[in-house]
Amino acid sequence: MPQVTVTFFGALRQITGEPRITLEIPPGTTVAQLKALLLERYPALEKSFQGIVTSIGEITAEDDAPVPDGARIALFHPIAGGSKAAPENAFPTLTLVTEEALDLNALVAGITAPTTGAVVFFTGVVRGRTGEQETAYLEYEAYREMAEAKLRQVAAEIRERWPKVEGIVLVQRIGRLEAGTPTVLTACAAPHRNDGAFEAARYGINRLKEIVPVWKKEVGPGGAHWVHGHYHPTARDERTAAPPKNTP
Amino acid sequence: MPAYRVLLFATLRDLAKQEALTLTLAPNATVGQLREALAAIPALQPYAESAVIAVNHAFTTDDTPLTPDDEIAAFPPVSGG
Repeated sequence: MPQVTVTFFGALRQITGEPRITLEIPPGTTVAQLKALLLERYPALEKSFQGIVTSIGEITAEDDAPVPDGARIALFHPIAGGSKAAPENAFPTLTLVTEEALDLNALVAGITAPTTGAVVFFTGVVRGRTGEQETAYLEYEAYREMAEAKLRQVAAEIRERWPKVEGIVLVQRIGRLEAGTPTVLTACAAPHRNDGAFEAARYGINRLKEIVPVWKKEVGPGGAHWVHGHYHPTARDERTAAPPKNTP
Repeated sequence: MPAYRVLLFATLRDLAKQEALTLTLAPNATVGQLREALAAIPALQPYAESAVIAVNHAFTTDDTPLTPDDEIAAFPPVSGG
């Protein structure tokens, strides 16, 4: 029997309780039939299947698409960006706070649409040495519900500023992360590299470090201490940024 | 007098040695009054002024009004990434 892996994002993951499963499917199974198999296994998914986006490997797949052996499937809800998101803007927005290791390839593949020609991604890594100071590991903590809401806000701000950006990933890993481990990913897809993808990915990480409630405790030979940021968000950070007069 | 529950994170939680506090404040209290009440707790005093106070997952200013039903959180400036 053909075997596929299915990765769940967002609310779906909360229902399944598992980020990723391996599934055997009959030969010739379509996306619609795969979804039916998932519903048998997780009946509670039914309510969440409205508006779901399925991707196979690198591209978004329609219900009648065949699912090949070994396919890497991702299921997620596209989150409309900005207040005036056009219905045709169905590009995926993946925002997540997770204890799981970041699968950078899968996350980038998850935002690659048929029209995508460039994906810029930034990943932060636990730095083991800063000058003379050694860091064994960082302990990350999140105010999870608010952090996920703020990740969605950052994605909406990116969509307002860089309208050519297609898929967006903003993922923060939490828990105990050893030196050398990727901790965060901000990735932006666009048709061409100069459509704002570089600027948008940089904005994503900078804004995340301002407003997403996550903290890290640094642990090394000299003991442990909380790292404090420098930005003091206020009510004005609730407004998404106005589109710039001159689009970059 | 209404009681307001405040979730604590990171340094504030460690110093208070608990994940949430219940503070009694005047009716129609504001974030500024909540901040003063946090500063009156000796363990939190050094961090009360710089604490970020969120209400229902939104950032605030000191004149933001509070109700006892709000989800209130106090935490240091964020350091994720």
